[in-house]
Amino acid sequence: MTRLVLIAAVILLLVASVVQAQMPEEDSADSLVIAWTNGFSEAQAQGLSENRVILLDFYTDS
Amino acid sequence: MDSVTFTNPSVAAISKSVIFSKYNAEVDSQFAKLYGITGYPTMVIVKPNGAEIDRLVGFYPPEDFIPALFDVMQNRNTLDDYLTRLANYPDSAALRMEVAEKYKYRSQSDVAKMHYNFIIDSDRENLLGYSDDCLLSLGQMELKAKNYADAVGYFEMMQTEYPASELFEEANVYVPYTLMKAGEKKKAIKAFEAFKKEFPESEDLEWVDEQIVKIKEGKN
Repeated sequence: MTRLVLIAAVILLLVASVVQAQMPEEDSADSLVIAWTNGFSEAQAQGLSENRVILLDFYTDS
Repeated sequence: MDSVTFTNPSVAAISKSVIFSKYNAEVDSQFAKLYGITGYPTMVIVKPNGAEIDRLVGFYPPEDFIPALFDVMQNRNTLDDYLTRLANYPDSAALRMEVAEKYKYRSQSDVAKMHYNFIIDSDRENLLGYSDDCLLSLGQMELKAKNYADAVGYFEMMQTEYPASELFEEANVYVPYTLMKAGEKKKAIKAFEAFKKEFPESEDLEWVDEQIVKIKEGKN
């Protein structure tokens, strides 16, 4: 029984790694932008797939 | 920018094409670092994947902001645009100067320096009127990078090489300012005093006096 569980786990791991390898890689700049800005989820919802540009306004309080 | 430019109706009208987002660089410091932000305000215009198209540095009133933004959106006068034009006219000092400035604002100092030095080497006598600008920019970049000795070197070179330049006075005031930033208090005061004697009509005299007082009071 234990052997069967171990074999099943190994098969699952192999399948998972194959599936992950076939997934398209996310653009690194895109993922960084999304990770670091809260505003981007909203921006994406507004239709970033269209030919729109994003203006990042950097400021300081000091 | 908030109170004047972004609230302008004409600017609001172009928001259909542009998504505006604001970032406090002291809070979103990693994000600001990613785009090499060193001065404020800086507006970076990017594609949806985060790739920079161009940036606008400093305050822009609405009448300047709208055409500048349209230029960026149409890839006109952007870094890519200037690089393409420079490839067609590699001897153009004016285009190379624009390219150098773009790289400077993007904090890509090494590339900017390469272009500035290329211009200086091509026109030692400053016949085209860009070499003095280049020396000043090189000094400003070293000052920003806190390479004070190199910065002073460029400003002094500018004084020696191009005494007839319109930027001569500016280069002169940068020397004591850089010395002050470097913590060379005595040298800075001496250089500020020398500036006052050499440029008695300068608009910077009041500011210079303030700096001298601050140094003496230990505030600078």
